[in-house]
This record gives sequence, structure tokens and C-alpha cells, in this order.
Amino acid sequence: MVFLKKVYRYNKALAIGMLFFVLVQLFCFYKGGMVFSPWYNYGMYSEVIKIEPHYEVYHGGYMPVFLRQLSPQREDKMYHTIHQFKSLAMNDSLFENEIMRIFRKLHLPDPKPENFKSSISKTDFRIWYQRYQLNWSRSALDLNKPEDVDNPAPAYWNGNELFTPRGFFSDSNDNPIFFK
Amino acid sequence: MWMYQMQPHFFNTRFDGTTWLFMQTGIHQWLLDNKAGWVLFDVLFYSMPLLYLLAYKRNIKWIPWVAFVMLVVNWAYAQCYTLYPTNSIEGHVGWLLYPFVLMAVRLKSFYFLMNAMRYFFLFFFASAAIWKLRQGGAFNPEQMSGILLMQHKEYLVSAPENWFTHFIYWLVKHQIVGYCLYLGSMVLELTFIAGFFTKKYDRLLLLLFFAFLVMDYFIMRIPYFEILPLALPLLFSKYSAPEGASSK
Repeated sequence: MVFLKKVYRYNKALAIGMLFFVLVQLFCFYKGGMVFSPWYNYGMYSEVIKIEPHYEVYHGGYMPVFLRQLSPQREDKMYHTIHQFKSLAMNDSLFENEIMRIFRKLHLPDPKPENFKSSISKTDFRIWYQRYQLNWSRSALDLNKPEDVDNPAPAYWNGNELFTPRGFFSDSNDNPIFFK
Repeated sequence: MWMYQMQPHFFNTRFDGTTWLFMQTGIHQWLLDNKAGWVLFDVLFYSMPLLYLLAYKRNIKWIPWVAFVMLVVNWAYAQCYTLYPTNSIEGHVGWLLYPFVLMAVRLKSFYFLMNAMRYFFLFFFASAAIWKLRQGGAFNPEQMSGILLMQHKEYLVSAPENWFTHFIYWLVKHQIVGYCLYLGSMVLELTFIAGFFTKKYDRLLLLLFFAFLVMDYFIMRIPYFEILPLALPLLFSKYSAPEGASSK
């Protein structure tokens, strides 16, 4: 408050602008739901997260042996892209259940569905993903099972480690799969 | 952060009112599979600081206008970039807010805006700690174990013999150690509240901030370096408010 008073004495418009920013930020913080750029909430893993008995994992058709050599940024590109693709269905429900409703409530013109729904087929995604991955992976990717890119497998937590069913990251003899 | 490296092919919508208004423009759609568009956006985005420098050297009166153009470009870039599969827009908040600071022509205005950014940075961290208390993560002893398994699941199953995998499993199994790490990070975030009352510990806060980034990168494998510019005001805290209304 002392700071805002100093700003107010110097420049009223600046102080009002800052006060507005603070109030909207505190409002978003208090409500804790929808945000309005640039007013965000910085939760950073604040919700309760328990150990699950099983997780869904993807390998993106990537050779497992290279995974440990990936930088976090590249690992992010590899998995986050797949996770984002898998959550595309949520775009549709967000558009139909929330965006349309809020725009109508505020008497704004109806939003165009194509601006909010991203419709790409699995085949389209797989073709693009392989090409995309080639730009930053260390070796050429030659999938013989393209559906492996975005098909998840369960990984079970046994209290000691996560394990996947035989044949996901390894063949029936437990040797790592190389997608060549 | 380069659009042409990302090669956007699809986008995800987020729960953000301003973003919804921006999405009505269709710019993010126009950029999909548009190589020329990616290069144009990258050139625009990365040339803004140079343009600002040029304005500063040639005629300081142009600064607010160049900063305004920078604001528009940064907003369009950050909004589009984070609609495609990458990290969240929260980490890019510095790109969205700094153009406001750069609009200042008078030194005193710059001083106050920089200080406002300092308070925002302090809030950024302090609120993260409050969220952990509010949402209950701070009271869940298996919180860190759950986070680590969720965060690294693909890495763990694909590289079972790797030293990092063993390290993560060790943390997951020693829940107390993991929980202490989580609480430690929360205490670190809470420490930033001190900055609201005094500037005396700003150097220490800066060190804590770097420690946070390094640990985030090492343990969580999250490159959160986009928020580095937010810490800049901590370096300026030794300066007091300039007297008079100097224009430079």
C-alpha cells in the first residue's frame, strides 16, 4: 500500500492501472477457476496427488534406448505432444459446455467452432508426428506399427517399480523393441 | 522457443477468458502448417528488442510506441505458441508484462514499473506456496511420490536401468524424504513473502530462485527458464527512487 501511495503521488493513472492489476489478480486467486491472461494462478502441483495403482504410458514409437539421452525439453516435445493430442476431445466439450455458454451469457457473437476445435484424425496425427519427431531425434524413425505412437499401455506400480506388460517396451523374450 | 521448430499442426484450448477472445481472431488457425507464417512470427518476435534498442538510441520519444508494438507481438506470439503442444502460458508471463515496463520514458516511471514487477514476482512464488496449503498438497505425505511417478512415468518404464530412474524410485519409496523436499520447496516459496516488507534479502531471494530452477530441472525435468526475466527487478532493488522527473 505504501508503494501504491508513492506511485499515486507521482502519477495517478499509473497507480490506478497498478491497483486494477492487483485487484484482478487477487480476484482470480480467490476464485481459483477460470483465468484471464495475464492473470494466472501459479499452483505448481498444489492439488493432492496420490500414488496410483496404474498409469497410462506412451512410447511414441521412439526407440527406448534413446529416451535417457533426451534433454527434458525434447522429452517434453515427445510426450507432451502425444498427451495434448489425446486430450483434443476435451477441446470439443470445453467449447460446447463452457465457451458457447459464456459467450452467450455475455451477449457476444457466437464463437466459430473451427477456432476452438482442432480436428485431426489419428492417421493424420501419426504421419505428422513421425515427421515432427525426425526433426529433433537422433536417428531416423521407421515404425512398423504406426498405431504405437499414441496407443497407451498400462504401467503398474508394485510398490517397488513401474512395470509394463510384456511386449510394450520389450518383446516376448524381454529384449528391448527397436522400431526398425 | 521458436515457432518454426514446433511446426504446429493442431492446438488445444485452455480455460482462459482472454485466450478465448484472442482465438476468435483465428491467427492460431492460420499458423497451422504455415511455414512462412512461422518464420514471420519468429522474426517479428525476436526482432522486437532490437527495434526497441534502435528507438532508444535514435529517439527516446518513440519508445512507448515501439513497446506497444512489442506488447501486441509478444501477446500474439505467446498466446499462439502455448496453444500448441508445449509448456503452459504461465511460464511466459514475463513476455506479456515486460512491454509495459518498457513503455516508460521517464526514469521515475521505469523505477515504479520495475518495482511493480518485483512485487508481481514475489506474488508469483508466494502464491504457489499458498496454493499448496489451500489445495491440500502440503498435507499429503505421499504427494511428492505421486508427483514423481506421474511426471516421470514414461522415463521410468523405458529406461529401467538408468541412474536417474533408480534415483527417482528411491525418492518415491522414501516418502518422508520426498515429502520433505515438497515441503522444502513450499517453505522456499513462502520465503518470498519477506520481499513484500523489505528489500534487504533480495540477493538471497535471487539465489533461492536459481536453486528452485536448478532443482526443478534436475528432479522434475522441467525447464522453467522462461520465467528468468521475472527475477530481474531483484537486481535493481539497490536503487532508490530517482528525484525529479528526468526523461532519460
